[in-house]
Amino acid sequence: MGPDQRVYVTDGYYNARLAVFSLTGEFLTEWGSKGFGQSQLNTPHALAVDTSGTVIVADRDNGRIQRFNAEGEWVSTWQGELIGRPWSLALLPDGGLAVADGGDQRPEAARAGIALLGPDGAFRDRFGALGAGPGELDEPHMIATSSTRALYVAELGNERVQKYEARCRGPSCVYEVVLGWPELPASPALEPLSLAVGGGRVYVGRQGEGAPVWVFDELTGVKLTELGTGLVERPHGLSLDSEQALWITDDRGDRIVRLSQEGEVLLTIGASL
Amino acid sequence: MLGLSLSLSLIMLTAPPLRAEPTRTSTSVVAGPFAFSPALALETSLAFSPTPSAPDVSTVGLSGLLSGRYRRPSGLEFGLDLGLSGVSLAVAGRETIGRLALANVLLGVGYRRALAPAWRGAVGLRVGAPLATFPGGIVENRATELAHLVAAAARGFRDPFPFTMNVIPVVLDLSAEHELSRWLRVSGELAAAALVSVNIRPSRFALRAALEAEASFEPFSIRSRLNYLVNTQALENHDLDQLSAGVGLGLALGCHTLRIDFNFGLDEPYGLTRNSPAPTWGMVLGVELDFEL
Repeated sequence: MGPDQRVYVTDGYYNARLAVFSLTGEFLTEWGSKGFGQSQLNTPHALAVDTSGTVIVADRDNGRIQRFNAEGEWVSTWQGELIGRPWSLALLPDGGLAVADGGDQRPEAARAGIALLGPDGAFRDRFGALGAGPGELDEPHMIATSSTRALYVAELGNERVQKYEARCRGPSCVYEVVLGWPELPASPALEPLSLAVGGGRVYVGRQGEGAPVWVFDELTGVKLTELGTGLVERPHGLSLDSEQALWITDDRGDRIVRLSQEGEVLLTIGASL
Repeated sequence: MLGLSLSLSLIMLTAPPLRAEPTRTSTSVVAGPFAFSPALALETSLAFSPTPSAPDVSTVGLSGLLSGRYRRPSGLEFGLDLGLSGVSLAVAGRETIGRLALANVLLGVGYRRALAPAWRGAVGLRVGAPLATFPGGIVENRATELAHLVAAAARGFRDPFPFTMNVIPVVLDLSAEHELSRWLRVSGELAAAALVSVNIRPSRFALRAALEAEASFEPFSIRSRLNYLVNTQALENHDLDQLSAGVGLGLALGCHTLRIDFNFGLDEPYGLTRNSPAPTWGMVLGVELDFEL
């Protein structure tokens, strides 16, 4: 969701483009082509839109972040060993960027971490080693931030969501995992895929056809409710708009669904996008 | 009634001599069942392409395709296609990536016959073993995908199915060939393929059509070709189809032929037009060996 109230979607697994819609589901524009060159994309996996309207794309399979203006014109590329391979990214309150490095999908050379960049792309810090212990990461698939500067990471490898709280001095922050967050039922398993944070709540899209989105209290980690049971095949992306409606990208069902807080379907954008 | 035939490469490249003389150009065709003697045809081609490229991207693709055909006197034919795709990808500021990958192996059976004076027809069925698959690892997957794409595009998508990834191709081939005169031959091809997925991507269908004209000035020949490929799923983004063209020269050495062809895309996504995101062209060197048994 951009500050211009437009809906930005990365269409990355079979295509290589960004599509833009209005809040009412009207197709507005698109850009992108598959390739390795500047402004081309290879599995654009996630995106963020900053306050100036710059669209920041996790160009996963090219191992870089690319930035575009609202018209789709290339602005800059951020890449490097310390950033790794961006699977997801989230804007920090100061305009910086948290980038989830999910590795190369090579078990013999696995890698994971969260890179922190400044608003100009300058590297600040990196945390989170590969592993299954508290604070460690395995295939961080999606990352989200909250107004409290907390970071939430959905991991495929460890099938969990971890919350990291920030202790900051100016622009410099140290992130520590919050143990015991969230509070999970004995079953079913969480199996997280996607995340959105807003209004004091954390929304977790889960693997499994028709699996509902679980909603947790951001502070306590208590599970509050479920949304959208049986609605989507695979909720690969989540985002909240200014009305706290939840947008879900269903990458297996080839559609986007807008859901109210009560679970009512407000809008569906179909495969013709 | 159309006779059964073999895969496209055989039809185009190893038309059997209908007279005793070892010449590739026949002056008459006997309609009806065969006057062919058992034969073995081998075609090998090496394709080179320096595309796709961009100011910050350099690609070099080299691929080989070996096709063998065994033809019975009845007109029944059995075929085998084996291929290998290779690519070297250099992106500014990054390490150069090289990749070599097996293409799908296709087994075929077909039937060809002379239909009328100066007309030949063929029909065949090929099924592929899905060897062109993602090896695992993001970098490896993307490089393998590029290698097979360049291999197919460098050949003008003339026979894309050995290079179509993550599918079991089941291909029905139809072709017809007409000798307008002693020195001019035209032909048309149609291939309908079911591409049965072997990964999470859905299965799909493809259709390929081609028209070719070849003029022979023995021992040389010149040919030109238009090829159209369409899929039920996009090749890239919204593009379902690709139009390609090719021109080539041949040198007949008895029953054998040396060939050089240049192929290029005409429209998006792989054409040489201004808006094409991945303009592609290629050069193919080929050797066709035809043995009567």
